[in-house]
Amino acid sequence: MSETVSLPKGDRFFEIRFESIGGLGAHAAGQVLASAAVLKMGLNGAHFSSYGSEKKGSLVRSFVRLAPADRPIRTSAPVETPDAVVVFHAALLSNPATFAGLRKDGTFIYNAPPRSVPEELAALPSTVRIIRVDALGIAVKEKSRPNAVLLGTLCAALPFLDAEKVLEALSEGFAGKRPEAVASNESAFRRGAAELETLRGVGRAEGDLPAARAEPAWGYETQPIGAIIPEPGNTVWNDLSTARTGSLPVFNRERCIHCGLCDLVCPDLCLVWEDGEKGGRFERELTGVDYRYCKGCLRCVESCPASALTKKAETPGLAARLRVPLFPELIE
Amino acid sequence: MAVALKTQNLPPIKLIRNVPKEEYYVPGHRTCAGCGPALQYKLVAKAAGPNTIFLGPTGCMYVANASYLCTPYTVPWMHTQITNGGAVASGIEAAYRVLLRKGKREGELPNIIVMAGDGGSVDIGLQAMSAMMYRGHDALFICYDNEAYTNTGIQTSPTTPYGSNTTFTPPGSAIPEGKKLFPKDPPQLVIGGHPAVKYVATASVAYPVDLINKVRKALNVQGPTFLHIHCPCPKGWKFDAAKTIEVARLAIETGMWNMYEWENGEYRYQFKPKRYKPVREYLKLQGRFAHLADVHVAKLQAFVDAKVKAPGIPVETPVPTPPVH
Repeated sequence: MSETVSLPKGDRFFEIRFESIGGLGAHAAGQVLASAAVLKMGLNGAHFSSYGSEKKGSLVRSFVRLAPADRPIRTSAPVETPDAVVVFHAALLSNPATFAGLRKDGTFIYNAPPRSVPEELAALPSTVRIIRVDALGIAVKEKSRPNAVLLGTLCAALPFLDAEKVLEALSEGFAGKRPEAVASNESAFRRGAAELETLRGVGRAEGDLPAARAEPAWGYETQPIGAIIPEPGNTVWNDLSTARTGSLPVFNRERCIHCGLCDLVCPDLCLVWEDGEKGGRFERELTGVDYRYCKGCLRCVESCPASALTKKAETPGLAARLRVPLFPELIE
Repeated sequence: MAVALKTQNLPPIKLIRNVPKEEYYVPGHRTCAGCGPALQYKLVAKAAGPNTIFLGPTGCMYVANASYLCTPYTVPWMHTQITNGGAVASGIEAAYRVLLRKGKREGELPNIIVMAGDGGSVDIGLQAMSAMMYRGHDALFICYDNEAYTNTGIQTSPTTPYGSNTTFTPPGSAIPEGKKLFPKDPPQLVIGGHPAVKYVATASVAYPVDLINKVRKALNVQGPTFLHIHCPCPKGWKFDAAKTIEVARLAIETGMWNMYEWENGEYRYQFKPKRYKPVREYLKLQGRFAHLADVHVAKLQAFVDAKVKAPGIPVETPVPTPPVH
């Protein structure tokens, strides 16, 4: 055990919330940070995550609570009024719950390509420090994951967190499981600490943001009858864009031979077909991709014999521009 | 029984363009990117058509698809406990028979399909599946095999292959290979002990047209039928989501997965390569086998060699003796 680190808030808990999508590594990041704090910095720490079933692409919140060594942490409640919020995916910025409860002297880190300042950030308090880092871009280049980059950024933003110790914990976490990832994680971590951009004059709100408490949508008197689902197939209203992790398939109609192979590897009906011209060569013709449902697995790209579907890095607005709706009369 | 309750004859298809365009498994479900089981579900639903009832024992294809008050199924669907998919199918089939006999319902017996994972079929759900087949209910039992309990965090199941790294079989200094046991053989389990079953087949998401035809054939048969479908799981097996089909195809090319139909006591093999590729080619794509040493790969290769040499005959698996304490 090394010398004790003192927390900026003195006696109060220092609370961090990671907002993420399953598969980006928020749970692992929280685990690494909390174990570094407890084992290497002489702090008390707790970490836990909230998520649904074990799958990629769904909303994950990971919470880290730190306290001085003489102050035990006896709560495992979700972090409602965080001192720092780290957003792993820019798509989460459109969800107001992402900002909920952030303190006015807090830190807000989000993952987005350079020069991307979404207007949703105006909802943040003007006094909050807002930091942007291209975690996905760096992670792809360094063959690492966004969580390593964002941990680096977080340590740079919060100097009381000893970056070397967190990096040590990160490397130890992977040494057993994937030794080949240790070096690439380290360079991703260091670039995350170096390549951050602090934004000014973005937040417009004043004071602490209100904490969001989930209210039940239905109660004793209003909930629908049990055991029956009145609207079969209603998952079509879900928007799964956030499940993509950086790439999407782009369709080039000129090259398409309308063979249908892609349709037989896509379980999400992303490929939109229409009846072919009467007397024409094709019975059915592919017209495009509905990115509302595309999770970015790119199996269609792998299966395409004519290179009509190609892999492209997803930039903001690209999916909205190229999207061909699957149910045009239902969902715009 | 006097009257045939099912006269349907779903025709086989030959080409991709004959695949029906109607979908009964709609998008928006929250399965992982690159999900093998979800692809299989879509193809089965397409093959079966609108006159179908799906039963979903607990598993990925229930948990990830049907969150609170949401489903992606546009045909009737019912959730069952992981233990009792077969029992619920038996009850639904028996009830339909009575309704049809008493004239309270028009038409034919619907296609009743149990969509169970490997846990819901040959592990936790085994007794109900076996009982359904023993009593001869007219239902299709599908085991979509992703070779682990994946929606709870990748725990080992009886169909997990030898040498897999799962959260219940982590490789370490005492057991360097991870999983020590060789897997169960679900089709042989069904064929061997259930005289009422007339049709059993294995299928894979790598061959969708074949999969559709096998589903249709199974649904045309009167009485219980069983399909064992290989569905790679990018999360559980630790490979790139784009490679699902490649992994499924390699399983067949290396002999890790065998494609066959069993009909009235006759085996018919399909997609049998002239020369099997070494099993290592299949293993190297997947993170769950990354820790295996040469000696373990050789052991797995010997198991596969024996399996492909004696088609249709269960292999004597080298089951390790329990340690003495």
